Amino acid sequence: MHSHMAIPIKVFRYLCLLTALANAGGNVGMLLFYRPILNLFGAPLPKDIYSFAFVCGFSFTVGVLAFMVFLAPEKTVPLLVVGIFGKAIYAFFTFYFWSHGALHPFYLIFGAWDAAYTVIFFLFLIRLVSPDLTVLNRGDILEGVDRSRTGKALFLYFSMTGNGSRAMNSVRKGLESAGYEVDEKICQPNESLFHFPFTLMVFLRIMLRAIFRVPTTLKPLEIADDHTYDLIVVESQTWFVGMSAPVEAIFQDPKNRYIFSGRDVAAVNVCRGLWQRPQAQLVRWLQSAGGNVVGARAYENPGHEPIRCFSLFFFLGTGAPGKPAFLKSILTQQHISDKAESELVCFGQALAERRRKVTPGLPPLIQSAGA
Amino acid sequence: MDLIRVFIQNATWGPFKDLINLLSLPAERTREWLTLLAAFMILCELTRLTIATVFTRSVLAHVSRCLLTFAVQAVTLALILVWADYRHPERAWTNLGYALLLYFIWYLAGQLVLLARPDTEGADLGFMTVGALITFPVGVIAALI
Repeated sequence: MHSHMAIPIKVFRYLCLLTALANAGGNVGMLLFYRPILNLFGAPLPKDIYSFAFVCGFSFTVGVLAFMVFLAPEKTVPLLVVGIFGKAIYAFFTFYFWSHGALHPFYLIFGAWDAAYTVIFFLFLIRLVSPDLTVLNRGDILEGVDRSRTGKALFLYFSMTGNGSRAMNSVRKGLESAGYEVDEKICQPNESLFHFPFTLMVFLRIMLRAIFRVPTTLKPLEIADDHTYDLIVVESQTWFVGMSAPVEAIFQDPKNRYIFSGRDVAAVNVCRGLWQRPQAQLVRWLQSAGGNVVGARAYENPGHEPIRCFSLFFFLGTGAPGKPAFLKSILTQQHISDKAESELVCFGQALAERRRKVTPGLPPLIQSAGA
Repeated sequence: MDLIRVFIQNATWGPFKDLINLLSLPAERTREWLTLLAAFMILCELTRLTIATVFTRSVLAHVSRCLLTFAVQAVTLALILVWADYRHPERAWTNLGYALLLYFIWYLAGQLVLLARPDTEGADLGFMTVGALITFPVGVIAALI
């Protein structure tokens, strides 16, 4: 999983405070003391005092914006987007007019400051969006819904090359070792397009459909309306930066919503390297179907780039791992590592042993199979 | 109609013409175009990583992310190399070196995100290499012709 250290959020907050003070305080200072300040740096006085005052006013506003982000970052994410645009545009025009000799180099200080803050705001934004996924990727298993446990789990997935099956077998081992019974439903697309090995034309069709998110349909999953699964685990492979079409088709059919509604659900993603968006897509679909997401795991195939990427291309092109034979010694494996499989066994065990939310005011349930 | 005609006649393409001229990578303005292209590479990578977990059902967001994985950056740099070679053929090989520097900046931008958020993909060296297989052959062919 993803456990390396990151810059603490308070560092980003104080960087916001710094630019808030610089923008808000600095521009008031500039309006009051622009003559001595510009004289000090040998910069000419503004030709158009109105535009100068307007720029100071807008820059002051961005300072207020940054202060609001400092106060409550989680509640002001859209303001960061505005801040990114404001800072980037200011930096761009500063460099543009400076490069044309229309601006004294003194103003480059502000341009460089805003360019740096464009990056800082971007990083802060990336840090703040979808915080629930960070919790899941930390390895946490969240509390399950407050309903009786049947000790039965359902797996839903579509594995074209076998990597997904391998991952789900590991989760199954973990769940079964903790007393769960596991049933699985493999998604069966109505179209014959989704098969492996494939021809170049089929590959191109799958690729273009994946990029443009063209949906597919599935044969009925035939899961009883009143099914007794207390846990649903869904696996999706990455297909061109997104989740695979057959797995997404489960959720695109509103009739399948009942499968997840009010149940504990978990997401598993396996891929070459781009796991983040498919995972977010899968988790959001699970949530929108009414599922209570208790865990998520994403694993990349082992190996170093760029050979891992080209190994995948060769695998997809030849239809088998380790081909062409003369490159066999450098090609990477097309399934998750043994270590990842072991971790998925533990994930299965942890899912089986997940805690249950206690709803205030309701008597605790006595039955607690598998927990 | 007069109003529209006057409106159009007084429009200016100046900044765009200047931008196109700057993207011919003239030697005397190296600092400017290098800053511009570095900013472009950084912004593309940060945008790609920002939209990783948001707008999960948006086709536009998804297509954007796919394009920003390597195509936008690689094709843009390839076109710039061709244009620069057309305008300043004597600098073709030097520009390839700058293109390599821009790929390095692209990589650093992706890895920088790992410092901000632990659960991020970071730079995708695999697809960056695919991008390089677009940019550099085009640049080399342009230099040879």
